[in-house]
Amino acid sequence: MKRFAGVCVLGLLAAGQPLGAAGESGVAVVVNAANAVNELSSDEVARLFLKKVRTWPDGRMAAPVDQSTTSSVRAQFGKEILRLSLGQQKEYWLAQTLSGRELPPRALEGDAAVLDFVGTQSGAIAYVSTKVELPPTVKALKVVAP
Amino acid sequence: MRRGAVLGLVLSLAGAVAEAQLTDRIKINGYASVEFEKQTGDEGQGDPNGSFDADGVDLVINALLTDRLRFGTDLTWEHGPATEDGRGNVAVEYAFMEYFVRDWLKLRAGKMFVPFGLYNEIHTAKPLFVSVKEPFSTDKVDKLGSPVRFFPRWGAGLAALGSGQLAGRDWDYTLQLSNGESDSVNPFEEDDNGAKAIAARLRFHPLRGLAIGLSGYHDEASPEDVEGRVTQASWSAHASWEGTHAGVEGMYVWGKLDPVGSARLPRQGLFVMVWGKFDRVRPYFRYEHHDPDTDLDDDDATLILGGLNVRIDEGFYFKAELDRTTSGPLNSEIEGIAFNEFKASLAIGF
Repeated sequence: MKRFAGVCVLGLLAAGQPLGAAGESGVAVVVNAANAVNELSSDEVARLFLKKVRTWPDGRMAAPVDQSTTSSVRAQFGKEILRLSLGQQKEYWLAQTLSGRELPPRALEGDAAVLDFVGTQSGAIAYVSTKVELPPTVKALKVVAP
Repeated sequence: MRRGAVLGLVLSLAGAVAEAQLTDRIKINGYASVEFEKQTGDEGQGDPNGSFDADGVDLVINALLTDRLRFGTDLTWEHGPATEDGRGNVAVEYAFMEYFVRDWLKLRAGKMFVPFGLYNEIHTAKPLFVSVKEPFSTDKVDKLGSPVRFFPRWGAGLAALGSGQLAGRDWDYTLQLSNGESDSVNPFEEDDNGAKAIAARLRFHPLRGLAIGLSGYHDEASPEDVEGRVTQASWSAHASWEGTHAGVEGMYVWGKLDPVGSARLPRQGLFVMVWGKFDRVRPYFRYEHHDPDTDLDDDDATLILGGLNVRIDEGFYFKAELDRTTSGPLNSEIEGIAFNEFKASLAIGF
């Protein structure tokens, strides 16, 4: 059976419900298939990508991966999960970097490169279009409202 | 021939991989600013000539040695350094190694900004703040009549910092142990006495965009012109909020200089700043007040400024403002002579 990222997608819904249930946004949050975590709240995902949290619950280092700033998937992810426009994301990371606090996540170009990376890094977390087919080394996270 | 082609391909691929690894592990950022200041009248502490200032150029370099280990540095060239003419200055703003233990515990060692209040850790990074300059009443009080600042800008030593959540709300802290400031030795190399400086800041984020915090600084200095030690202690309460269409921030600092055998010098400063956000344009207004000696009347200084911050392009800002500085006649810097200044700057960050 083909595994599509769209099985768990982001959207707006009532607290505690999978975000995919209320409507499809076109963005799926993905992790390495070996990751024991299957569900996160949208706030928890945002905290990982903004590097307010850098570890998974078992203590392993998380490796968030952004898509390039020209990507529509990134814009959508920023709007729905980070609640930041692309411009606000850039300002956030400029402030973090220049003040010496944190560096932005690595950015990769396109869903294929993101999936390749996530499939080989046990701590990776990323997002891709729901239209993309997931390899067996990658799974989609269920993202619920906080 | 064929073997050579294969070898060339292998070397080329190895070079590409090495380059990818290098760009993954070494990050280069930076910022720069150019300023113009002109005092509008003849009297006052401003610049009556109107001068351009190649304010600063900074390179921020980070080496990510492992997932947990980072080296970060900010190298600055201020006011167009030309060493053969003794002009400008070159400095290490910070250079530290950081080891990540847990989200609530990162350890740093090296030269660092002192974690105090809202501005000190970005005071050279002009693209990051709305106005042309940081508030003088809290961060550059020597410009408003205090003998020394509430806290030094840098400290060499150790720091612990981290973040977490309480009741679903973010908090973060920084605790720093350093040599403190000294006018007799290089404080980034040695201490002028056995007492270490302690700086700490705790912030809580009760709502999205809102941060409230407390900061403290304590040190004992041994100035060459003072018999015995001088205790320097400063405390601060600060808050900032930024929403979709507006922002506000404020900070109150109080402290003392307490020389052994002499009268203590209690002092305080505060500022409040508000700004609007209209697409690329941010109009702003700031009120600052500094009292260099709370036991002395007629020495208070006040700075009121208003201006516009325009984002010209991504990370590129133009700012223009009008400042008015007044004081009581006993203020040692302003001497009761009010003056106005026009200030403008271009700032870029990447």
